[in-house]
Order: sequence, then C-alpha cells, then structure tokens
Amino acid sequence: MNALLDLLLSLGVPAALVAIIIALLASPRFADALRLCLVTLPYWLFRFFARIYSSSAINLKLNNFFKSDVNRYIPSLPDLNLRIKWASTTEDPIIKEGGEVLVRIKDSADQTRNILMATQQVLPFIVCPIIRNRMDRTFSNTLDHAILRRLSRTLGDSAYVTYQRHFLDEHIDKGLVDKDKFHKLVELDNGGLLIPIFAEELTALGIKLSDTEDLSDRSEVISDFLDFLLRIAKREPSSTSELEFIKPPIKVCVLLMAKSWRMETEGLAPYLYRIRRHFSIGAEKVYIIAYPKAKKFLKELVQHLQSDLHIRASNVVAADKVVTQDTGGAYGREDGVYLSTVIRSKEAISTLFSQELHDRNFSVGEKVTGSVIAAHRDYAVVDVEGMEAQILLEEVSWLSQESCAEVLAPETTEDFLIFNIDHESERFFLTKRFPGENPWHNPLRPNVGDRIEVAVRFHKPGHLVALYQNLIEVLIPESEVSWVPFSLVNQDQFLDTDHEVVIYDLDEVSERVLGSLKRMHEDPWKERFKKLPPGTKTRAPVCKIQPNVVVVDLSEGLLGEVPREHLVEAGHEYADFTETFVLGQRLDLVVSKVDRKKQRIKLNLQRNLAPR
Amino acid sequence: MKQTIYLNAIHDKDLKPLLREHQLEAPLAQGMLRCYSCDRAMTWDNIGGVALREGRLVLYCEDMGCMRGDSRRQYA
Repeated sequence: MNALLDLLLSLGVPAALVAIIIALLASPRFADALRLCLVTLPYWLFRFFARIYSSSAINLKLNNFFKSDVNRYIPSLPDLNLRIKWASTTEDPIIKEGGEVLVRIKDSADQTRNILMATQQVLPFIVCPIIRNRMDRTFSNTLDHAILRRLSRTLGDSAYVTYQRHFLDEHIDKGLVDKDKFHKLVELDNGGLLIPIFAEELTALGIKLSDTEDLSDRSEVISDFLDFLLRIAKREPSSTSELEFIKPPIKVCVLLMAKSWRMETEGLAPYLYRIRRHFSIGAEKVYIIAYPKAKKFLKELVQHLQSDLHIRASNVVAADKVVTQDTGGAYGREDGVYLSTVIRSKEAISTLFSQELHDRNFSVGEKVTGSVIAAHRDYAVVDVEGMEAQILLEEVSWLSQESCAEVLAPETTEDFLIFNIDHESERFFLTKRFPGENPWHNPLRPNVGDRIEVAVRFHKPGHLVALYQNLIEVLIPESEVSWVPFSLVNQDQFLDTDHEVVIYDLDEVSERVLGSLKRMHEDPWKERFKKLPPGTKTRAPVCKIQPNVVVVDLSEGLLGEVPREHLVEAGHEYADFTETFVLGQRLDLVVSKVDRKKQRIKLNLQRNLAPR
Repeated sequence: MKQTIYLNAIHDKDLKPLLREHQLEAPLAQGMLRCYSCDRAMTWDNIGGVALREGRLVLYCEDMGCMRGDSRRQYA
C-alpha cells in the first residue's frame, strides 16, 4: 500500500486523478452517470448515441431508486444492479434462443415512459418475487403499481402525470389493477410502511414458503395484513401502542413508539416486556415503528436489543415520506417514521426452556394449576409455576366463546391440562377441555330429525351458536338460517332469543351438532323462481355495487346479479358503474339465467338486447 | 453481494429495420397486426415489445399483463 502511495506521489497529481477516475468507474452507478453526462448533448442535438443515452438514463434512475427506496428496507434483497441488454436482429442469441419478449425502448429525449416500462417489467423479479405465484395476479399487479407510483413521484410531477395517463388509468380501466387495493397501498406508502414492512414481509413469506410444497393462494391473508398495516399507518402518533397479526403463515407484531410520559418515566422496561410478550404469543418478528419524537429512544432500545443473544435487531432506518404538492408540500422528502425489525434468533435459542419443563415434570396431557395473568379476545396468558403459558380461544371451554375473558378472569386460579409444547418457539399451551366433561357424550344429545328449542347466544363467522338445555352446543350454519341469503338477514332478530330448530347432521369428526332454522319451513324459492323464467323483462332497484357485479333487488327476497361485462357492453355511462350508479337506481333488465341450486339469477340490460 | 438483473430490450432505431426485415411495416401501418397476447389492434405507438414465436416475429402491446406473458382473458 505504502509502495503504491509512493508511486502515485512520485507520478504527481495527474496520476492520482486517473487512479480516482478508474476507481469511480468501477462503480456501475458512477459509470452510468458519467456516460449520461457525456452523451446527453450529442443526443439532444444530433440524436447520436441513442442507445447509450437510453440505457444510461434507465440504469441510473432505476438503480438509484432501488438502492434508496427498496434495498435499504428489505435486508434480504441483494444489492441490485440493473442493466439493459440490447438486441437488434432476430439472429441475436437473446431473441433467438431465449424466446423472451424484448421490451421496446422508445427514441425520446424524455425517458420517463422508458423508465416506467422497464421498471414494470423487472419489478416482479425484484420485489417479493417468490410469493407472486401464491398471490392473485391482480393483487400482484396492484402492488407493482404502488411501487411504480412511488418511482414516478421521485422522478418529478410531470413523470407522475405520464405514469397516471399511460399506465395507471389504462390498467385500472382494463381490470389489471384493483382500484380499491391500489388506494390502500398508496395510503400505506404515504405512511411510510409499504416497502419497509409490507414488501419486506411478503419477501420473507415467499422465502419461508419456498421450503414447502404448499402453493395455495395466500391473497386473503396478505389482504388482511394490508388492512392491519393500514390501520397502523393511519393512527395518530399520540400514544404508545401495540398490535398483533398472528395469522399463519404471517406472524408479526408491531410496537408503536411515540413521545409519551411512559417512555420518560419507565424507560426501556415496558418495551422490552412487550417484545418478549409478542414472541411468547407466537410472533416471529416484531416491527418497531417510532414517530420522529421517539427516534432517540428507539435507538436506545435497539442498542439494548442488539446486546441480547436471543434476538436480532436491525439498525434503525428512516422511512421517508415523499411529499408532493397534492399532499400539502413542495416536491421533496421528509422524515416519516423510524423503523427497526426484531427477530428471534434461532441460533441462540437456549436449552433453558426444555430444562424448565423437565424440572417441573410438565408434559402433554399433564394437569396443572395456573393463575390467569391476562385474558384477551383470542388468547389468555397463564402463570404456571413461574412459567408463562397460553390458552387459545377454542381451548377455553367445550362451548364456543366470543372472548377468553368470558371464561377466564385475571388473577383467578384455575385447573388446566397441558395441550401442546412447542420447543422451537419456547411456548406451551393449555386447555380447559377436560375429556370427562365433553358434552358430545352427554345422553341428552339430540339426534338427526329431532326438533328442539335452543337459545341462540351469538354469531361467529359461518355460524350462529346456540345452546340446548344449557349444556349442548348446536351450531346453525349461515346457509341454514333462512331461505334468504344470510347477508340479507337481520341477525339481531335471532340473538339472545329461543328458537325451534331441526337437527339435520351430527358431525362425528369434529363432534358438532348441526341444526337448521330454515328447514322448519317449506322452500319458498320453488314458487318464486317460476315467476322469473329466462327472458322475463323486469325493472329493479340497485341494492349493492361491487367491482365485478351490480346486485338488484327483485323483491320477495330474490336478488339478481348484473355482471360487469354486460354493464361495459351497455356503453359509456354504464361502463363506469362503480362511479356513476347509486343505490336505489332502477334498471331495465331481462332475466338471462336462473340457477336454482345456487339461488342466483343473472340479468342483462334490456338496452343490450335492443336492436341497434 | 451484488446481483445483476438484465432487461432484454430493443431500441426504436433497431425496431424499425426489424419490422421491415419481417415485412411487418406495411401491415402495421394498415392496422392489420394484433397483440400476440390480448389481440388488441397494434399501431407504432402502442408496441410494448417484440418476440420470436415459432420463427415468426410477434408484437405485444404495452399492457403489463401482455408482456409478462399473461393473457388479458385471465383477468376477466
């Protein structure tokens, strides 16, 4: 090194400059910037160096964007270097052998469209690539659009107009992008959480699922996760809060930090306790989000966490907000929130947990006595001989409950059985479903065909939960409540009242008694359907507007559906029905299809069938 | 770790001769060519990409679904 320095000193300043330039050229970003500087004027004046001009501009903008807006938030992503590979003839190996689509790069001084087009093509290979084949395609496209929008914002206001006109509006019109989800993702981005948490979590989820053969569609849980994050992004930074999203395969918790009295008076202890609690209820990752006033405190917390062998805490990163004129500022960036990610370190999981279980003779099926520490809706925490255990909602009783707090009160002592021990996450679970108390074996259990009186207690997704003789649970599926679709039923009329039901099934596998309210009466649909054979003309009011269908009320409890394609076919004012239609608006319709089994009637607009 | 991602592309300056070589320039101007994926009528302005399919040069429109190899029908 010293010899090299001596050589440079002996050669003088020009040699040092050459050495610096060579070193900088080794950086692709610098090389692109330099190339762009050199060819811009010749291109603008004489259209010389068109390919170099385009590729340098695209490479530079995209690589800068990915570095500053994507890579630094997604630690699992490698440092990306995007390069344009030109093909010019069909004899070129890229086109001849690869069979791939060559993206057209337009010959224009304004490279905005080229940059957006190139980004659109490469995004699925960069941002959460593995989870894409387990996601709805429209959802996947919508995520790309939210990132494209962010890119266009960083390119300036005119770029955003180009993006909106040539990409977004067109793709929404064609149904390639889900407008509702797009707005949610934009709101999430405005809150600074789109890439640092949503995209990061989807990237991690893809990696996790790639080890399994499970290719099932995860759009629903991802959509729920989006809603969960959106609620956080929209929160006022006025209080410290915590939130959980434990819906496998996504198991994350969020800890919010704002400047509050608690931080100043109690220090790190409450936050460390919460992080530990999040892991104890099954979280695999805890995202800490700090508002600007809590930045210093977050750094202190992360410093402390990084010294803990059981967890890994990432450095604090700032999730910038892009501030534009329509969000109330001049174009630029400002501090949004500060983030750190805390993960349980698998390498450092100690053998302490196993030892503690062994010392207490705890094993699955063992009866234990515990003191309830806290009872939430979905789970309760119980202290069993100094170890914390969880009991999930479905295990607190043989009968369904709305919340653990209905059965377990804090600071009370109860008997439990150890239900499951998870050594990997260092948790063990309890149950209060003692085998000797199983009501399935009760001699009072009704049989199929019995008509019995039950008290309807509450509604849970999919069922009304009722009780027979105050002992035996009878579930009434939503489809068995009424001959009218459940979405139209006023559920309140059933709750906390007694009803007669007929038992139509005993599910031996899940030990459930299934009752029906609707089978107490004759099917009224047979007569109603006869009144509306295909071809019948009718006029009906709109009662629901969805992106793909408009639902109309055909009276007597019958609903009809007008699919999107018929509305688009009907012309301009109908094509934009989600914006222009109002509830109660009457439409002239013709019955096109009747599906008695699914109790569905499809309709077309009369104007589509009229001669033109 | 650095990962290089290549985007295969064709510049307008090469696209015109390529269309000429495959005798597609006149059909394109007459509106006779269609997007290989969604069947939309093609013009010079809405060409998003090109590819070789069974020895034949085909055009794709600018729809994100078309160039990613998805048919628009899949979204219906």
